[in-house]
Amino acid sequence: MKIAIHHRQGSFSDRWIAYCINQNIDYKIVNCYASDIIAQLEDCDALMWHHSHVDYKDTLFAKQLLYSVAQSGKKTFPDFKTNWHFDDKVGQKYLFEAIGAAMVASYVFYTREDALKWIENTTFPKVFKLRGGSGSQNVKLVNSSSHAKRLVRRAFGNGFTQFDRLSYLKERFRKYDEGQNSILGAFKGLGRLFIPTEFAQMHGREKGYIYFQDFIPNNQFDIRVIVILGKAFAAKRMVRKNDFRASGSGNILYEMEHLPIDSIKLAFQLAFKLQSQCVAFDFIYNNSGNPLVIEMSYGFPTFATDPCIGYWDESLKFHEGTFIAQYWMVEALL
Amino acid sequence: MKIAIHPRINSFSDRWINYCVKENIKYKIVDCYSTDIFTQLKDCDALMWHHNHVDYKDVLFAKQLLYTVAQSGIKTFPDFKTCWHFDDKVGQKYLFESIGAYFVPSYVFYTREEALKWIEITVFPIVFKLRGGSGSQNVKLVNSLSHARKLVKKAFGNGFTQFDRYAYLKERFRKYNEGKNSIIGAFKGLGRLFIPTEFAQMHGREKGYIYFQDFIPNNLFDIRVVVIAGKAFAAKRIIRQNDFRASGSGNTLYEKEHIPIETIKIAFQLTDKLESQCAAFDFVYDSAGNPLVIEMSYGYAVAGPDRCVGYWDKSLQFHEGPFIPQEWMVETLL
Repeated sequence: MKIAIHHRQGSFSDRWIAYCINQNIDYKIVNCYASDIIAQLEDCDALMWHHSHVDYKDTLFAKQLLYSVAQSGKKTFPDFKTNWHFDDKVGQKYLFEAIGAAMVASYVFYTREDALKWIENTTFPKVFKLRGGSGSQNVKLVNSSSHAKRLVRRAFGNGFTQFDRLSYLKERFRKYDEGQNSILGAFKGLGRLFIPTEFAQMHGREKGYIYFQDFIPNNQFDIRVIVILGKAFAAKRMVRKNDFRASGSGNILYEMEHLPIDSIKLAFQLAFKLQSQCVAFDFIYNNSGNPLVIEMSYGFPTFATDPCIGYWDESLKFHEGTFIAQYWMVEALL
Repeated sequence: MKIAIHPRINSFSDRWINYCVKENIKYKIVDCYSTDIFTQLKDCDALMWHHNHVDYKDVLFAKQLLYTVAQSGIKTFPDFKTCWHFDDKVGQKYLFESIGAYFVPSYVFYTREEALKWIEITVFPIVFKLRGGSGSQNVKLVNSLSHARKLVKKAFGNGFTQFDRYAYLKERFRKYNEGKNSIIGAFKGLGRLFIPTEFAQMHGREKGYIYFQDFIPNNLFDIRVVVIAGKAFAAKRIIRQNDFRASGSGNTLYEKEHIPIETIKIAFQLTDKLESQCAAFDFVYDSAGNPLVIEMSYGYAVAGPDRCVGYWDKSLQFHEGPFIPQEWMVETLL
C-alpha cells in the first residue's frame, strides 16, 4: 500500500504526512496541478487531496481528477460519495431530500418566473444563500418580498460574485471589535474593497439560479458534528452578536455538556446513509427541539477540532482524551 | 419496474416514451426542474433524463440531481460513470489518461505562468479548446506562439464565453454556402451577434484554465463510434472545407465500408473500462495509422444514427438493418 499525498501547507496533508511517517506507511508527495499527475500516481494505490473550495484551481478540476483516479481502481480521499456535494448547497438540498434527512426546508429556482411566483406566496424572513461559500459567506437574511425580488433580479441578471467585498470588510471589523483579530486584519478587509481575491477574479459569477432556506428563529448557536470512520466529535458555535449566523463566528464551545447527544446520533445515521468517509454536519434546532441539518462538508479548518476533549463511537460511548482526526482519514484508506 | 422520464421535445425522451408504450413498460412523465421532483419519483424505480449541455439550467444541477437519485437507490440514465465527464474535456483528459486509453496528448494549465512556460517550448500548430462545447464550437487551431499567448492572456484575464458569436455566424454562412442551411438560418447567425443566447447570458465565463491538444495532421475525417448495451454503430465525418474540424460539419458517411473495424473494437474496450451505459467516441488517426480518441459524450444528435445501415455486436459481427438506439438505453435499466 503506497499513498500519494498532495501537500498543501496548513491543510490536512500536514498531519497525513506526519501519520505516515509515524506509522511507517509508504507515501509519496505528488502535485495534482501538474499535467503529468496521472503518471506520478502510477506506483501508488491511493490518492489523498485536501482540495479547497476557495482555490479557483481546485474548483476547476479537483473532483474530476479524483473521479478519474478512482475509475482506474485506486482509492481516493475524499471519494465520490464524500465529495461530489462539497461546497454545493444546491446538490445537498436534493441529496438530503432524497435520503429523507430532517433538514431545513430549502427551495431552488432556475427561472426568474418560478422564483417570483414563489416569493408572492411565501412568508418572510427567509435565508438567501449562494450554492458555494463557507464561514457564513454569501448568506443573507431576507426580511421582505421586495428584498427577495431584488435578489432574484440579480440572480437572473448580472449574477453574484462568490466573494462579497463589503461583507468581508464588515466581518473583519467585527472580529477586531471582539478581539479575535488584529487591526492589521481589519485593514486587510479594507484593501480587499479594491483588490479582489484571486478566487473572485477567476471564478465565474453565480447566476441562473436562486436558493432560499427557511429561517429557523431563536437559535443562539449551531452544533457542528464531524463523523470519520465510525467516530464523531462536535462543537457548539455561538451566533455572532446581533446576527443569526454561527459558522465562522469564532465563538466556540467544546465541552461535552454543551453538545446534545441527539445531534451526534443523527450525524452517525446520516453519515451511514451517505456512505461518507468524512463529513461535518451543521445542525440547528426547530421549535419542538428537534435537530435539523443545514448543510455538510467533507472539509473543515485543520486546527479547529484540536480543542475537542474526546469523541463518541457508534454506540454513543464517549472516549475522553485528545485525538487527531486527520489520522483517521488515512486509516479509512488502509 | 416503473421508469420516470423527463420529457424534452427532440431529445432521446421522444423515443424512450414510444418504446415504453410499444413494449408495455410502465412509465411516468416527471419534471426534473420542479422543486418536488423527489415526491414525483416516489413510485418509480428508474429516472431517465437526456439533459443538455446547452441548457444553462441543466448545467446547473442535472448531474447533481442524477447522483442524488442514484444514492436513494433508484437507477438512472445516464448514471454517474456515464455522465460525470459529459461536456467536460478537462475531466476527460484525466480519465482517458488514467484508464490508459490511446488518447490525443492533452495539456491543461491552471496558472498563467505554467501555461506561458509551456507554450515557449511546444511546437505549433496546436489545438485550443474550452472544456465545454459541441459541434466543434470553442475549438481553434493555434499556429503561432503569439496567438497562443493571446489566448493565455484571455484565459487568465476576462475569460471566454462558451458561445462565440463570430464563429457561430461564420458557421451559419458556411452551411448556407454548402446548401445545408436556408438564408434565414444564415441571418439568424447575424442576429446572434447582437442578442446572445440564453446560455451565453446565464453561464459564467470560462476562465482560470487553458486546455491544448496536440494537432494530428492529415486527418480528412473523424470516426464517431457510439456504444450502448454491447452494441456499436458508427459514422465517418468529413472535415469542413479548408478546416481541420469534423464534428458538426454535416458531411457524414454511414456505409459500413467507411468504418475501420479497429475503431469499433477500441470503442468496446473503452466502454468496458469506463463502465459506461452509453458513450460516443470521436477518433482520428496518428501518422502510423493508429486510431486516437479525442473526446467522448453520452449524448448525441438524436436523428443522426438513423441513417446507419446496421450495428456491430461485441464479437464484432455486423447486424444489418435499421435500429433505434434509444430503445437500448431503456433496456439497460430493465
